[in-house]
Amino acid sequence: MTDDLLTQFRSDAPLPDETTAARVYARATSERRRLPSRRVILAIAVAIVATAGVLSTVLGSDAKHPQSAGHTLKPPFVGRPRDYLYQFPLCLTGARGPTGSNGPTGSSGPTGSNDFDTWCGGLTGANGASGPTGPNGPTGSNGPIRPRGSSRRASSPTGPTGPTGPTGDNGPTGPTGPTGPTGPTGPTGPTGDSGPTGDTGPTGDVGPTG
Amino acid sequence: MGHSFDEAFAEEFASLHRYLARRVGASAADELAAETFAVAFRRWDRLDPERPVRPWLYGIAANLMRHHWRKERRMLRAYARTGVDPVFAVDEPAEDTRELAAALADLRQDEREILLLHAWAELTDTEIAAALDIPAGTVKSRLSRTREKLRNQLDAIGQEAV
Repeated sequence: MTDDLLTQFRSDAPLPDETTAARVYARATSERRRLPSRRVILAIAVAIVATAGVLSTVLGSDAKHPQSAGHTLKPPFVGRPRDYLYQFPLCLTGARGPTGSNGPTGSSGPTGSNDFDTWCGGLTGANGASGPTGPNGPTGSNGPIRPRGSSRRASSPTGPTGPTGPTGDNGPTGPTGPTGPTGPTGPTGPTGDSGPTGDTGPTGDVGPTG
Repeated sequence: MGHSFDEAFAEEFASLHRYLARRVGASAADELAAETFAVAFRRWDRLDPERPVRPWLYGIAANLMRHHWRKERRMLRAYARTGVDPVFAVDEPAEDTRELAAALADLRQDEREILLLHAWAELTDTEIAAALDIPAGTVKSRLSRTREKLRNQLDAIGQEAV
């Protein structure tokens, strides 16, 4: 009884015509052609989101740890004597400090080398004071930063050397003082012109140990 | 088995469309039938050749129908209330058909699904079980219970009418 009623109820619905069948068939089978584009769109969206996530992670960590990002050192202690305390560990880890100022003109020594290694123990035992040096040549650029933790004895990649200034005539060198331990040599700045050699001065102090 | 998609479409489309049209109306049936066969078309390569196509197609349609069950209930109630078939123009709708629509509208969704797959799609218990991915014993017991419930409701409606 119930089943008969149900069958009668269904029979009220007519069967679809050919046009409907053709339309539905076309729609159903065209789905495959649309499918790749959907997948491509999805893949692109996922790639964009993933890239954005990676970038935000990297940039976020840069903002929190600027030194680890290998960019800049904070400059507030540059130029003050106690800054050596901050900068010395950086030398040990191989990081180069900020550009040193040129040495005073007229005294020999590490003049012309802007590399911070010179400050950190790269000083050779002071030579006897030479006569006044000529004007410095153009400053060489700093070499690339060494990775943290590498030995200060490890050879660091040498930065590109600035153009060498014209060499002047060397005057007679004064007596050389005892040589201290040699630290790793940084990239040498261009040699300035040697001025006329002055009188030989007293033996210089021994530089900081490398 | 070894049906091609085109063969399956030719064999099953008309009955599937009528089943869907009776349940949710002609325009929604077009949509659902197209979507059902589109899903089947995409998954055709993964279909087990030993698996019968018919319950598989009705299973896909049943999943899609779940978004339309409120509409179906609304249409059944409208039919029961007004006597005007919202799906097809019927000259003189029988009174007992209106009562049936009212009773169907009061069934739960899963009860109606099993009952109509049996009565309208003419699937066996085993095929309904395959279509809905439930045990055949569950189908049998639910179908029996739903029939009983429907009969009681029809009786109640008939007594109210009297």
